[in-house]
Amino acid sequence: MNKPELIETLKGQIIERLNLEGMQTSDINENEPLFGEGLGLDSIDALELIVLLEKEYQIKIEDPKEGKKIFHSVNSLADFIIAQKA
Amino acid sequence: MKSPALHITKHVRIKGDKILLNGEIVFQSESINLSDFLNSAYRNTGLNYPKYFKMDNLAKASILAAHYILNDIEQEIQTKSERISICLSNSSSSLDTDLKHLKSVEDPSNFFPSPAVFVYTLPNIGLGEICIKYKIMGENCFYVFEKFNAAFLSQKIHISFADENTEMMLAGWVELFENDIDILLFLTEKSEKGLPLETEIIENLYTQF
Repeated sequence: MNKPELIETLKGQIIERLNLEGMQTSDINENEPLFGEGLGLDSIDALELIVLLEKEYQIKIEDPKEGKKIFHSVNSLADFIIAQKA
Repeated sequence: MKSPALHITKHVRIKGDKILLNGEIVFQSESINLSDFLNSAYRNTGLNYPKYFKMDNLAKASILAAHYILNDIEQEIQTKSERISICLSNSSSSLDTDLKHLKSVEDPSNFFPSPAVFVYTLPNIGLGEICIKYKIMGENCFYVFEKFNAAFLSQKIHISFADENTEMMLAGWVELFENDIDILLFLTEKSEKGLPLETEIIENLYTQF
């Protein structure tokens, strides 16, 4: 899967996993922040994203301090997955 | 000057495929699935509260019932947030969501519990969602009974109003399990209008539908 495909897949998984009702993948800008502004996700959503990474991509975040950087946006999340799978 | 007696000024009933506000049907759906019913009812209200879709069914039903009662007095509520109490009750506690959580952890080879499901494995979370949405900060409590207990609710409301700080109280029964929903929520105020706060009246509101 190349990066644009991964980004599209991630957007779909985020919508489904976080119950973002009425939202389409095209509504998510991959460069916008996931938390605070942008999608406005909360702390429970952050935990759901960690579970999503483990379940769908078999990736565990070893250093919690990295979380903020990894989950900044869909783009940064995709970069992290690609780096882990390389 | 003597305060007005306690009266039930609004009541909502959700059972089967209907929602009744003060005895009048305000929503009806042919959905055979409770989740679909709750989502259809939400859209029908015109509410814009995206967090609704992240809630479990018990919290959704609690928010929905509260909406019918509190929506047109939302501004008033916020001016007396610490003087509004809530007392809810049911018989299934949070079992509906507890079982969903159990399903996600019973297979050790596929152990992926959902934090968003887990946070609703307490019955009073729906009550908390009402408090968050309407900024209610008074006394709140949740009780689990074998069946609807009008006498207890009546007594509890009288006790709460014995504290002169209490101006309004939202109380009732929010029972939900799998595809069955059985809700009676009502607002009590010191008022000249409404139905007198008596066990028999509360019982009638519950059995009328």
